[in-house]
Amino acid sequence: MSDRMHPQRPIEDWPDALEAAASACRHVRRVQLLRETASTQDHARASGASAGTAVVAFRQTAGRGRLGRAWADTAHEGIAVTFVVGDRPPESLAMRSAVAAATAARTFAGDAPGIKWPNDVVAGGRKLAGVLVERSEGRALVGIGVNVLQQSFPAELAPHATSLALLGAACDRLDVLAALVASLDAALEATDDDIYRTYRGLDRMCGNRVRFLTPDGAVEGTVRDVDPLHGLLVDTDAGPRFLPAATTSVAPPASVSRYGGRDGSN
Amino acid sequence: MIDIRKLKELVRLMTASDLTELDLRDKDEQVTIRRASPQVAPQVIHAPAVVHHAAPAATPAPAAPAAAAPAKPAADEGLVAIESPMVGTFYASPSPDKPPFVAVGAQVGPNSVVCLVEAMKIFNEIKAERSGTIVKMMVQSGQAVEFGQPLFMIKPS
Repeated sequence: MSDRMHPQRPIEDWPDALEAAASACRHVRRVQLLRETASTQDHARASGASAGTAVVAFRQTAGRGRLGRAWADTAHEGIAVTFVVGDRPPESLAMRSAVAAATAARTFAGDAPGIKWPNDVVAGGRKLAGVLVERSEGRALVGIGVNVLQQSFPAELAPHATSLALLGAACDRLDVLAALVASLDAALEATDDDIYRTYRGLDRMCGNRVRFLTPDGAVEGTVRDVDPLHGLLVDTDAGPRFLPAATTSVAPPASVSRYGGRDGSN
Repeated sequence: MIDIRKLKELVRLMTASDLTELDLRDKDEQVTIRRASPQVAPQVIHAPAVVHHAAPAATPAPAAPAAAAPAKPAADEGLVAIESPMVGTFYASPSPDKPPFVAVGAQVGPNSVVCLVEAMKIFNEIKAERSGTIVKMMVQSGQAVEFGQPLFMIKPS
């Protein structure tokens, strides 16, 4: 594996480039750039940032995500951003944020990235980007993390994680951020029908054998249909089961500690 | 369960927002409210829900084991429920390594966040909506909750 990295622009270049990306947007109107922060999500909440603000970390050191700290520290290799947006119903936010993250990833990695319900971005079965959405005070904090430059991951994450670099994309983190600003804006602007269709086109869960956690206990089976507005149709050994979206989560890999369905990289 | 208080609130919201029809359903029940015009009183159709979900060829899921019957607030104790505004998973703390938002005995105000309800990895902050003292926690962290299910009982101040 090559140690040569695509040249990265310095932080001094970020404000202007991000402002330029936001200037073409309706839903992202200003960018707050932080040299280093524990969590863009916590910063956005604590600062009371209003809808239209994107909080971007040049480095995020302690983002929240169930896959452990190594994943959560972007260490100048990943990107972390929290978009503060006007409130919408949960299923709309889930669909739009997932489509935005996957679309940005596909700008650099072609057709490989897709969506693992409800809102992980995966490629080749490994997680490339994560989304964490928190609704609070009549606004929603849409946190998106993307693995960009990582050439390897700690042992416990390696089987489950990938990056744009590992997918063969040579890119600057700043370009990925700019693409994400544009794709998030487009996803918020799209009609419900369009976003629903796009989401289903990007689905990477159908056909896979998946273990879910439900109020009735664990359910395992081959996923036959994913409807982000309603739920999942799963072929279990005992026959087909419908799992409502609101009370179903994907069971984490056995090696990873869990806390309900909590996930994401911010 | 949709009780009369909730129904009144829905009617009030419909009138305020000029909605003419509202269709609500959950596992057990379906409620349809229609208004012909702002001058006519809302008409309520209340029927058991026939279809819980529309899924091609899905067999019905087994009933949830001993689903906690939404406990009604004990009016004689003067307690009021903080109810879940949505279906999802209840979390008492902001993250697993943090203390709960509130404990029994805590004083809360209308804007105090008391818990999170998560659905599809969207975490929704739930507020007390009134001032008082938390007297009882009705559900455990990680438990699935229904629309309108009491999450906490509070003694209003």
